[in-house]
Order: sequence, then structure tokens, then C-alpha cells
Amino acid sequence: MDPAGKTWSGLKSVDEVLARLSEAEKALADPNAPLSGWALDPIYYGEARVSRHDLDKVSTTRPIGILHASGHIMNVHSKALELAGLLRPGVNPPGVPLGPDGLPAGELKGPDAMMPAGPHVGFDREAMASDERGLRDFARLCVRTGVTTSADLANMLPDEAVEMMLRVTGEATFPARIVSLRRNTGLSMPQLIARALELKTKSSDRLRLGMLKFFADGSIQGFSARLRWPGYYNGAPNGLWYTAPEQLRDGYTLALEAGIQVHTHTNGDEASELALDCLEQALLRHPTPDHRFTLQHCQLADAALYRRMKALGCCVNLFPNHHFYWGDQHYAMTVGPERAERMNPCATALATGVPLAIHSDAPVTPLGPLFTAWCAVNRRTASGRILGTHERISVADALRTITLGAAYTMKLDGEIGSIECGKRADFAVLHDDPETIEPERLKDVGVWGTVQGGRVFAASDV
Amino acid sequence: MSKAPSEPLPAEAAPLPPVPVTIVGGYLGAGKTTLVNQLLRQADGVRIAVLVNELGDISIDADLIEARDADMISVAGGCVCCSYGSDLMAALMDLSRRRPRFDHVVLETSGVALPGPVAASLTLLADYVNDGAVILADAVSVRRQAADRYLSDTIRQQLSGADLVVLNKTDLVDAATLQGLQAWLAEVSGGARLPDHGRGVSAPRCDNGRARRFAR
Repeated sequence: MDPAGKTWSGLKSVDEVLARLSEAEKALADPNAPLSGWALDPIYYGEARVSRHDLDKVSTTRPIGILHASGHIMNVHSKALELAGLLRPGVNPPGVPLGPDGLPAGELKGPDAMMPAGPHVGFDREAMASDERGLRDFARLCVRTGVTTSADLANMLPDEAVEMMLRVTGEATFPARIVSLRRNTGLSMPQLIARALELKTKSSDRLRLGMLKFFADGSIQGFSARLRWPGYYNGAPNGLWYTAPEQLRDGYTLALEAGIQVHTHTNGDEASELALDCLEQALLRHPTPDHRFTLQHCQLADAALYRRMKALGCCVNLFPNHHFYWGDQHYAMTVGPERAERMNPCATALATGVPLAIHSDAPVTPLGPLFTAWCAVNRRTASGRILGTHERISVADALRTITLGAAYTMKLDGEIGSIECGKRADFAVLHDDPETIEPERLKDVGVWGTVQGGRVFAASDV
Repeated sequence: MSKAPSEPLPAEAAPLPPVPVTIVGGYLGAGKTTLVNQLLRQADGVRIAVLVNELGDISIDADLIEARDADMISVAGGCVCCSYGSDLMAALMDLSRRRPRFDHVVLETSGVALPGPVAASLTLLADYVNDGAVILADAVSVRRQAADRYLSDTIRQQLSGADLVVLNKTDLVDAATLQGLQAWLAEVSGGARLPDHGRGVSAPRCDNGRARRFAR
């Protein structure tokens, strides 16, 4: 669904993709303007891959770049490769598959491989970062999907972006509250803490600042997450650390001292365990009640790690949308049946008493808390397999998790997350009653709009 | 980070030879910053651009600094030190547009980065050529790190991806330990050059024509 409310049908073959691109190509007036597409998901095309020669059929003169749904891969054509200086022999990183002619075939995998071509096809760094139009469009999507507060968990938050976000979110009709975390890139840990304290003072009602996001590892489907034994099911080597263990530990310690809350990206179970080790050491140095440090994604943690999270006062924000979008691949390829069935174990988290939130990681998968709740309740993959019946949770638990559960992990549960006297009037207005609809249809509950801070926003008006 | 210009890259009259890039890696505390300072101090007219992950994590000797802002430190003799944060490729592309060109790029990776993928990424940029990976190791702690449950494979892959291994802090271990360490490094690094690590070994010089000799 786009911000204007139009739902675009999925395209199940390369030919359908080419047809829609040709349509879009004809609509561009400027013959030199790049054609940029996104949300390509070749998992649906069987063995077929989009090659540069396919996209050459759309145009040989206009640069074309299509970002995949994961955001980690981009397809380009010959002209774009030529402009990027990549259409030559000798280019051979693993992120650039070569065709039979020894030249790049058209897929660019990973940020490094995408970077040289990005600016030529309309995906430069500014376009990928938070921009004003993007923020406004995102807020419209929030109203359409029933979101009143959204966490933005990977922002660099330079001063210009903060000024823009403060201005736009401060407009009388801006319909959502944004909680934006500064990520741990470009600054040393002491500088990062100082920046978080500075950002905290700029916080407004609709733009909450002053929290940090650390990155421990990469992604499971990209084989860059750090896994414990037995590692990747297909034998791929273990993933990468994104931050050194000592830096994580020192960052946690400094953050606890300064009263700054930290959320940490850990996809693999080894990364989750390392984060807990580091947090435990930091807490021994600086004991802090109710810190609510949160593990983000934390998709592969086992029951023992949940018991540690409980003991350390850690929260978790799980990613049930993975079951639907990549569950079949996790079952067959990345982690195998046993671990796929216990990925994102919402039932274990709740049974252990670890404060739980769930998320879409939008734009990695589409924004939609009721869809995410449906994923946690049903654990159904795209092919229809139920991935771990024992980790399904009830509709009531799922609804609490997407409201008060999420608010708790951001220390906002005293203000939002439930409808109570004294709290903000923030809630979604639905066409159907999620408590009486069949659990299998939870994702189909219609959203009329939202009430945010007592202001009424109809989806049909945004 | 500096912003990427939105206009297309300027067309060059004749392609210039690619700029050699030396990758400098190794875990935290292995001496990467000390090496970078030595390289800048001994640049001897060679214009070196040092790219570091995070400027906040490197301390350039004060007497070398001519000017500094949030993203860049200007160093005596036409050298610079700048951060690339999460976007190494963009930083390298920005750097290649600066005139006059730099003679050599020293790329200091994060403490957990592997040299192999960085070297592979360099092949994407026609303006640069990989001049070898120098991996530094702390004589006191490298074996403990290589046995650490979280770090073992990272440290070993760093060493096995090296063209040259420089062992630092050798004055803090005894002769027998040093000997054992060198034998172990020769095995783990699988054919990388291991200069004779006497006490107080100096940093390898890094300039066009000379850096190559460090390569395998």
C-alpha cells in the first residue's frame, strides 16, 4: 500500500515486472531521468533472476535501478553499470554475481556493491536517509495502518535532520509521534553518549530523542548474523560482528551511568548472548534498576537466553513478520526446521516474563501492527506452513504486545499504550472487532484511522 | 559524512592510474592508531589520505594537525585523515573527486572488520587498487583473543587475510613467548610476510612503489 492508500498488486514473474517498469518508463518526461523501483522480491520468481539484459529491454539509455524488498540488493541494467564504472572485467566481490561473459550480471548485493551505482539510478544517500517528504508519507501510512507512535531505530540524526523532524512533527496536523534513536556509527562511545544527552534536550512531544541503538551483528537471510553452533543450515560461514565486544560493554556502561536507554540489534543467537554478557558486566559496574535495555530482532535466542534476559531486566522486540516473508527460506536454508520453529518465540518471552514488543522493521516488511500481530498469532509462512505451533500467542496477548508492550520498551507506558485517564488519547479506530474476529483474519481487520493526542485522523482524509 | 554531490562524476580527459590502497586492520589495542601516526609523520612528501571508521576513536598526534572539523583532520604535508562511518564506498568515491589527488590511501578498518571483504569491495572502484592488507597484532593479547569464544574466528580470519602481519608490544613479552608467537602467527596467517619482530620494530613505510613490497 502506498501513502495515498493504493494497494499495488504483487508481480509474480519477471515479465510482469518488466511490463510495469515499461509503463513507468513511458510516464517519465525527462529522457535522462533515472527510473527507480523498489520492493522487488525474486523469491517469488522461482529460479529466475532479473538480469541487466532483462532491464535493458525497458530502456538502454535511461539509468534503471530496482531495490529489492530486503533493501540489501539492487538490480541495475547495462547503462547503470556503465555509468557506475562496473561494466568491466576484474570486478569480483561476492556481492556482484557475474554473467557468462564475465561481466556483472546486474544484481548488486549489499551496501558496498550498491553504492557506486546508487547515485546514478536515483538512490543516493540523501534519498535513502530520512527526508521531509518521506517523513510526511510515512505519517500518512501510520494513520492508514492504525499507528500512533512509531520507533525509528537506525537514524544518524545529524542536526539538519533533527531540525527538519522537529519542524515537521511539530505541525498542527502531523498525525504521529516518532521515537528516533541515534545509531552507533561515526562516533566513539563517549561521543555517542554526549550526543544522546544533547539530543534528549531537544525532545518534543511528537519527536522523542535521546535513546541509542547499537548494532551487534548483521541479518540472518544475508548470512551476516552471528549464530552459535550449529551455525547456518546450508553451511554458510558465520556472520560478522558490527561492533567489537569491548565497545558494546563500554557503551552499555557509559549509557547506564548517563541514564541513556540503549536498544541493540542482535539477529543471531551468538549476538544476543554477547549483548547479554556485555550488559551483565556493565550492570555489575553500574547497577541500574529498571533500565529496560532492549534486544531488537533477537530472532534466534533460546529459552535459556530468555531466562537471562528476565534476570537482567532486559526487554525484547521480536520480528514475527519474518515467519511470513522468509519463514520458508529459514526452514529450508538459513537455520533449518528446528530453529525456524522457535524463531521469534513470543510465547517463550511471555511465559518467561520478558517484556515483549513485536515489529515490522518497515520498510523491510510493510508497516502494519495488526499484520504483525497476525504473524505472532498464526506463525504462518508465505507457503502456508505453520512455523512452530507452540510459540503462537493469543490475540489478546498480541494486541497488548503491539500497544502497551511496545510502549514499555521505550519507557512510554505511563503516557501511551492503553486508554486510561491521565494518558494521551492515542488509539486506532477499527472497522472490525479484533477480539471477536477469527484469529486467522486478524490481518484483515479494517483501519478507519487514528486518534493521536486527542486529534482525529481519518485514513480517508490523509 | 560529507554529502555526495548530485551531479554525475566529471569525465576525465585521460584515465589516471588507480590510487593504491593499503588496508590496515587488527583488533582493538593492536596499534593501528600508532601505525597511522607513524605513517603520517614519515610521509616525506607523499600525500596520504587516511580513512578511519570513526574519527572519535583515533587520536592523531597534536603536532601533526594543521586543522580539523567534524569529518576531517588536515595534516602537515598535504595529508588528511577522515572518517567513513557506515559508508566506506561513499567515502572512497568522495575522496577520488578531490584535487590534487592523493598518492596513497591508508584504510584503517574497525577492530572487527575482515580484510577479505574490504579488498573485494575495492575492486568495485576503478579509481583504486588494493596494495595489500597489513594486520596488526598485540603480542600480549592476540592469542587470548584468538581463543575467545566470540572473537576467535574474527581474529583468525583477520590474520589469514593479511599480506603482512605486524606484531606490536613485543617488548612486553619474553623471548620464548615471542618465538612461540611468531611460529603461531606464521601458521595462522598462512603465508603472510612476518617481518623479523625485534624489539621496537618500526612501522612499515607506506608510499607508492614501496608499499607493494609488503604485498605477498
